[in-house]
Amino acid sequence: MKRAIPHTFGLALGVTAALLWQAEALAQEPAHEHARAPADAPSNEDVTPPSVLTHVDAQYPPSARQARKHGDVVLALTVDADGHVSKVDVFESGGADLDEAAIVAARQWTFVPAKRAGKPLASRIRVPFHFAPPAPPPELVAPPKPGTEPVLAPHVVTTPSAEPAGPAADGATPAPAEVRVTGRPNPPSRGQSDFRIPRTTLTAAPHGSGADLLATAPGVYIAHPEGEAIAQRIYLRGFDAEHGQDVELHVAGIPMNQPSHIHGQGYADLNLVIPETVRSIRVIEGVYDPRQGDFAVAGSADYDLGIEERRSRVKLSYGSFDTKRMVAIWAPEGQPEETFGAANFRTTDGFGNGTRGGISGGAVGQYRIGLPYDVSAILHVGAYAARSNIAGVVRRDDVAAGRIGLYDAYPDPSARAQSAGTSRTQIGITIDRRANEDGSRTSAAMWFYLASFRARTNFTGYTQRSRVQPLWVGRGDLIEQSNDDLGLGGSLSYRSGHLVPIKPFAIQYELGTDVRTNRVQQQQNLLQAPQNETWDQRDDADLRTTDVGVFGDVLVSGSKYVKLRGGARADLLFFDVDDKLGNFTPAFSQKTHLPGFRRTASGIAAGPRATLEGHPTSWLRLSASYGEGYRSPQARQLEEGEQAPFAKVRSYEAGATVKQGDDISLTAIAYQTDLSYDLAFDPSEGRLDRIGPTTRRGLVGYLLAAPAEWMNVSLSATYVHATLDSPPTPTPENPSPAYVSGQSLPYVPPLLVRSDVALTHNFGTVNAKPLTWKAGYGTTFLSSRPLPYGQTSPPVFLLDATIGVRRDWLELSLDAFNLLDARYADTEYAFVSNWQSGAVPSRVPARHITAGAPRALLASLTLYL
Amino acid sequence: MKHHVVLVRSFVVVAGVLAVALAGCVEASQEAVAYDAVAVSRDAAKDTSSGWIVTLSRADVALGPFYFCAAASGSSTLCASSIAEVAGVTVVNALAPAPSPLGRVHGFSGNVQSVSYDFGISWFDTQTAATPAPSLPGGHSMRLEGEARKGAMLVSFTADVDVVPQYQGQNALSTASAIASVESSATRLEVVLHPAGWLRQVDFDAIAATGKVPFAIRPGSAEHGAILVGIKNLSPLEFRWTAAAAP
Repeated sequence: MKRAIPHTFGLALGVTAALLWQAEALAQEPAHEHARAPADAPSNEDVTPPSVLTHVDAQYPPSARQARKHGDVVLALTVDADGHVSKVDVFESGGADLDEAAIVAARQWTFVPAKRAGKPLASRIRVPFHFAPPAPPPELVAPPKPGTEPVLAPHVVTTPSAEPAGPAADGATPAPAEVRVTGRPNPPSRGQSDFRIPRTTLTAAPHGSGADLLATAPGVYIAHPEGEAIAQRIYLRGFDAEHGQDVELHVAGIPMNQPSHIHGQGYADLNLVIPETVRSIRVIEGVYDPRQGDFAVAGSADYDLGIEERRSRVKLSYGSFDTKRMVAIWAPEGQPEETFGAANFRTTDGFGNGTRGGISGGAVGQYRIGLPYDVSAILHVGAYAARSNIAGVVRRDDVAAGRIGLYDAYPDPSARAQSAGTSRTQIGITIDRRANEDGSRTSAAMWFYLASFRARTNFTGYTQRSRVQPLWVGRGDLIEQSNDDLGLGGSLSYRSGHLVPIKPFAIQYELGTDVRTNRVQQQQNLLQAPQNETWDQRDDADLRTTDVGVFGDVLVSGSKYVKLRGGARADLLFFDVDDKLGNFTPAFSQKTHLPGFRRTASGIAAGPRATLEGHPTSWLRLSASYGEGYRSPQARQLEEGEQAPFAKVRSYEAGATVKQGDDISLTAIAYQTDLSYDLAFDPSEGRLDRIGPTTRRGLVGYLLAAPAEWMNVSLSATYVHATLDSPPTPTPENPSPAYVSGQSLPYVPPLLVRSDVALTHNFGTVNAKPLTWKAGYGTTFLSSRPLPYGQTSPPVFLLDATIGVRRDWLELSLDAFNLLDARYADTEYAFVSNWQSGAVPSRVPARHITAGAPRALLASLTLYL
Repeated sequence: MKHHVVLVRSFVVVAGVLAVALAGCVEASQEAVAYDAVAVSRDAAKDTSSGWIVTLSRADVALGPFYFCAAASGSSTLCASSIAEVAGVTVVNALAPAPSPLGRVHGFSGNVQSVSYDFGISWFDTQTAATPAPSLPGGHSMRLEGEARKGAMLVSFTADVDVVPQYQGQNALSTASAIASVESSATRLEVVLHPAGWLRQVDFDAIAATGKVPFAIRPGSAEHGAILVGIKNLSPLEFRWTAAAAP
C-alpha cells in the first residue's frame, strides 16, 4: 500500500504549496520589494514548504463500514527537519475510528522537509482526510478554511481495498497550504559581515555550552580558561574580547553584558544558554547596525531561541571525567517554536588532577502569546547557577621541566583554593505589533536580571603585598572578586511604512530607544588559603549606571539593484560611584581623613552606521559598510565630573557574496577596525587595564554549501593583522615601554579557520519507522598567536565530532571533543608569578597557560515523548 | 556543478591569499634575550682611602639573585616586573684576576635603569625570615680575610659578613643604578666588585687597639655595620653591559 508519490505530483504539490504559502507571506506584507524582508518580522522569506515524499493511504475502518459512515478528519502534522512525521494531532475529528485510521496512515508519511536558505527545518502542516464507504464513489471535500497550520490536499479514502485516491488522481485542486515558520527574526542585512548561523551549522559538531556555538561564526574562537562558573573568553576578528567586553551579546533579546563588572567591563556569561534551545545566531562582526550599543566594539551576537521539532524529550548523557548531563525539553505540539521549556543539569569531575570539578544547571522557558490586533508577545524566563573549581594557570617552563603536568594545578593551598560560583535569573517580555499592510511595525520589550558572581583566582602565586598592612606579603595572591548586579531595561521602536516621496525612491525609517539601568555592588580582596582569611582589600564599591540610547535607521531604495541602510545612534551614560576604599590612606601615613570617594560622571557617545548594498545580478551581492561605535568605561575608573571617556571604534568593510540557489554561497570580505584605546588583561589584579589605540585589518572567506541533500558545509577563514598604534601605556615598572611601529597585538590568532560539516541520511526502516543517522564534525585551526616579548604560541588544530542514530522516539549519539587529543593552551599569558617551583623566584614575565581540555567523549540517549 | 567547482576553487584561492598574507606579519617590540654574566674584580685586594692600606688575602663573595628593572627604582615594591634577572646565587672569588661566571641573564630586550639584588641571603615573599642560600661560605654572604697596615701598625682580620634584606619581600640592596640598553643576546654583563673598598668605614684604629690577632668581624658588630655601609654605599657593585659574540 505504500508507494512514492510520482515525482511530477510531488513537484506540483510542492510548487503549488510554495506558491500558496508565498501568497500568504506576501499577503502579510505590501507588495513593495522591501516589504518582503521586514525588519524583525517573522519571515517566511526563503522558506520552501515540505512536500510529500512517500505516503500511505488511510484504511477505511471496518467498524464504520456497516454504517457506511462518511467523515472528515483533519490532522495537524509536525514534519521534522528530517522529513519525518514527529507529531500528529487531530485538528478536526471525524470520530474515534476515523481519527485513528488517519493517524495510523499519516504517521507513515515522509516528506522533503521545509527549507529555509536550503537548510531543512521543522514545519507544521494540516492534512485533511475524507472517509467514504465503497459506494457511492469517493467524493471530495471542500478545502477547509485557512487556518494557522498548512493544509495539504484532501486525502480521500474509500475502502481498504480501494485504490487510493490522491489529490492528483482525482484532479482536485490542492487546498491552500501554509507553512508557518513562527517568530524567527529576520532583520535586514548589515553588510557581508552580518552572519546568520542556522541550526544546521550550529548542530553539525558537538558543543559543550551555549557559548561554544559562537565558534561556528567566522573569525570566532571560544575558550574556557576558568571553568563553567566563569564566562567564556571570546576572540573575534583580532579582538581578545575577554569575557564579553568587546562583543555585545543578547539572548532572546535580553542583553547579557554586565556594565562595570568587577571581572571585566561587559562581562557576559553565556552559560545560561542551553545549546539545544538555540535556533540560530546572528553575528555582526563590526559596528554597522544603529541598534548595536556600548559593547559592540568587535561586533555583536544575538541568540535566537526556539525548538523546531515539537516533541518533548529527555536527554541523558554520560562521558569522560565522570561527566553527567541531563536535559529535559518541553516543546508542546501545536505551539510556535518560541514556546518551549528546557532545563539542564551537569556535573563533572573535570580533567586534570581533580581541580576542575563543577556543578551547573539552568532552565530557560518561553511562551509566545497571540493577542488581538496582530499583537504577539513572548515571555522569557531564564536562570542559571554554577559552581566550579578552577585549576588556574601553570607556567610553561614548569611544564617543560616536568615540575607540573599540563592538565594539573599547582599543589599549593592558594592554587587549590581557586573556585567560582555564579547565578543569573532573567525575565523578559517582548511585544510586537506585526507589520501592517504598509509595512509599519511597533515593538516594545522589557527585561530585568539579577546576577551574582564570586570568583577566587590566583594567577600569580605569591607576589602581592597588602595595601592595608604593607608588611603583609607572601600570603598568596588569591584574588576574590564579587559582583552583584541588578539590571533593568527595555526598548521601544517604531518602523514606518514604506514611503515613496519621489519615484523610484522608497524610504522606510525606524526610530527606537533602549534604556538600561544597573545597580552593582562589587568587591575585590586578597585571601589567604586555605582558611580564606582576608589579608587585603582592593575594591569595595557601589555603582549606579544608566544608559539611554536612541537610534534612527533609514532604508533608502533607488531600485531593486541598490539599497542604502543607515542611521545613527547616540547614548547618554550616567555613572554614580560610591568607592568605599577611595582616598585610601596607606598604613605608613598619618590618617587625615576617612576612606571613601564618591563621584558622578556622565558622557554622550554618538556615531553613524551605514551599509550600501548592491545586487547587480541575481547571484551577486556587493556591499560596503561603515560604522562608528564606542565602548563605555568601567565606572570605578572615572573621576568626579569626568565626561565619560568612551573608546571610539570605527569599522569599515567591503565584500561580495556569490550565491547559487541554496546550494552554495561564497563570501569574501576585507575589513578594518580602529579602536581609540584598547584594554588588556592584568593578571596581578585579575581584570582589564587600558592600553593604547589599536588597528585590525583583515580578510574573510566564508563558504556555505549543501552539495547533497544530506550534507551541509560551512567553512570560513579569517585573517587579521592586529597592531598597537602607539606605545603601550607606561607603568611604574616600565616608564618607557619598548615599542615598534606596527607592533602585533598579543594573544590574538592571525589566522583562524573553522569548518562545520553536517551529514544526515536515512538508511532504511525498522518496523516501518525510518532510521536516520547523523554525523558531523567541526574543526578549528588557530595559527601561531603572537605573545608579548617576541614569543609565539604553537598553532592549534582541534577536531570535534558527533555521530548518532535515531528511530522515531529513540536517539543514541556519541560526541567527541578534541578527538585528536591535541595538547594545547586554551589561553596563554605573560606575566610575573611566583609558584615556588624554584629556589629563587623569578620576577621576569613568564609564559603561563591554561590547558585546553583533552579528548573527551560523551554518550547520550534521547527519548522523544 | 561547474559553479560549485568555480566557487570552491575561488575559496581555495582566497585561503591561499590569506596564508600568504599571514606570512611575516608579526612585529614584536621586545624579544627574549639570554646572555652571560660575570663577576669582575677591580683593584680587589687593596684600598688606601681610609688611611690604612687594606690588603685582602681572601674574598669569597656570594652574589645574587639580581633583578634588573626598566624603571629608575628597582625596589620590589615599585618594580614587581623585571626586565631581566640572574635568578641564582653564585659564590665567587672576588680576588681572582679572571672574570668569574655568575650564570645567565634571562630577560627581554629594552632599557635597564636600575637593579636590586642580594648577596646570597634573601628574604623572599614566601619566607618568614631572611635565609641564606645553601652554597654560602659558612652561611654568610661573604668571607673576607686580610690585613690593614698604617705605618708600623698591622692588623689582620677576618670578616663574616651577612648582607640581609631589611623587610620581607625586599632585596638586600633594594635599588641601585644600572643603565643599559640591551638589544640582543650578543651581550655580556659584567658585575664589577671592589671588595677592599667595602672596608673603608672600618675603624682599624679601634681594632688595632684591641690587640686581637686576627680580629674577627662578626655580624652585629660595629665593624660589620661599617662593612655594610661600604657594600651598599661606598663601593657598591657596578654593572656594565658589553658586546659579546652572539651565542
